[in-house]
Amino acid sequence: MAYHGTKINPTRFSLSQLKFYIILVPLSLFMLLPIVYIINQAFKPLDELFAFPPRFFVRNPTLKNFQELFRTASSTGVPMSRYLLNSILVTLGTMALTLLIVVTSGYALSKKKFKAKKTLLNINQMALMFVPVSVMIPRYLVVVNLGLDNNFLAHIVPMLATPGLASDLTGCRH
Amino acid sequence: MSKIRSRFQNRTFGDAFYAFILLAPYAVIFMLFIAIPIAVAIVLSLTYFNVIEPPRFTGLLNYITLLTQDEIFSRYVLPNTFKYALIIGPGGYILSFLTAWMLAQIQKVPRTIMALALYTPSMVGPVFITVVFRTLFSGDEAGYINALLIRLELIDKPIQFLLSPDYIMDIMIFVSLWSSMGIGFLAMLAGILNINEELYEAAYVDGLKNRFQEIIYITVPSMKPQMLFGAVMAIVNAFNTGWIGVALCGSNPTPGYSGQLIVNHIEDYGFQRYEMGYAAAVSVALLLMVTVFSKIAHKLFTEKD
Repeated sequence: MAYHGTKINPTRFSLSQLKFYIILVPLSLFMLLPIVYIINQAFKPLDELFAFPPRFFVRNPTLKNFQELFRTASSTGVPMSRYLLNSILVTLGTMALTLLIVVTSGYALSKKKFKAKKTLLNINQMALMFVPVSVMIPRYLVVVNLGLDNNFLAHIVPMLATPGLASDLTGCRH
Repeated sequence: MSKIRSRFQNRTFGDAFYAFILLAPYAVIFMLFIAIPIAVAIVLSLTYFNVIEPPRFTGLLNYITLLTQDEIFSRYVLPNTFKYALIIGPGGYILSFLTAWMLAQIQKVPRTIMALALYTPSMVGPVFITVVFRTLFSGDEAGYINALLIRLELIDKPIQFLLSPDYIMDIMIFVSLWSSMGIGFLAMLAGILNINEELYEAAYVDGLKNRFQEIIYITVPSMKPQMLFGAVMAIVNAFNTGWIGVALCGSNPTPGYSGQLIVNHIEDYGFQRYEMGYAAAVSVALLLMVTVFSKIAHKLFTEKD
């Protein structure tokens, strides 16, 4: 038979997979390079940061940069810990609310039966192409009119409009 | 099957009621932050609005200006946007599909690790991308790329990568491709892995010869929804990542308008010159462009039956 076990999602290693590894391993490493670089950069002392020729890996790792960060945070007017807390709160809030909204609407759109379903799915499909930057001016006006400016919620509520996620749960799982 | 069941149980009314309750939060958010802004953008695009005075209706003047008098738009912004979108959209899409497909051919554990490695760049976000690539492409000889080129004796003095009109576009394309394996890539990987293996076996019995035919006749047709999702995401991403150029060189407009995309043009007019009406008209043009491209993607990937 012509079928010689070239299966998707194989359970065992065979020599025929080698060619994929040869392409994928260098590609993955290449994609990770900038990330490895920036982590190394964070631990470099000042003279290494501006050294010529620059080195990819850190020679004498130091925590000084981090100490500096928290020292300026406590001694100057830059409340670093506050920024960190803000970021965490916004992230958690957005995540929890997005899950709630997307799961409920995704469930309704995929499992329930009602008249407007087809139309709603189509509208959602259209909204997938929505480019937020293109309407940032009106979006800002909406935020101001809702009284959300100067408020934590301004970071969270507009981010909840994610047609991509909703359609991921419905459109892709017909 | 489901039709028969619903006819017997006649639960359509109950379902509609619950669906309404479940959909309400999403619908409200959707109206507020997608539908209304689009409507407002269309209305604003027909006015002259400088944020201080109330908008003054000017009809189609903004669009006429955009098409006939905005030389920066027609000479730099539009060609740049098309070049960028045509490389990033299809390029990122094909790259995502090929890597997803190759990942599907290997075992689970290495696949998961490598998928994570490939997905990471799209997760890290604008600030990280800016910091990393501004240090990598830094214009002095301590910049990594410059130092490497000097050591290889390809150049003898550092190149101002991020400030020179000759390089900024290529760097933008490189950075975007680097971070292009996002949610579309994951959807495609899941799609390939979910294909019924019996299909492949049956196809080989029917005379399928190689992996290339496997992709054309089985893989792609079996995962059309994911392919469509990936395509639309790639298009949106291509038009959406305009911030990269401005973030990399640190100024809007970018040097010599060489990396100026339509999104930067909107920011330039809307938030630096405060010509909101005109910026809104450009926004509507952008929405139309994305819609046209997505329509093409829909034509290509939706089921014909």
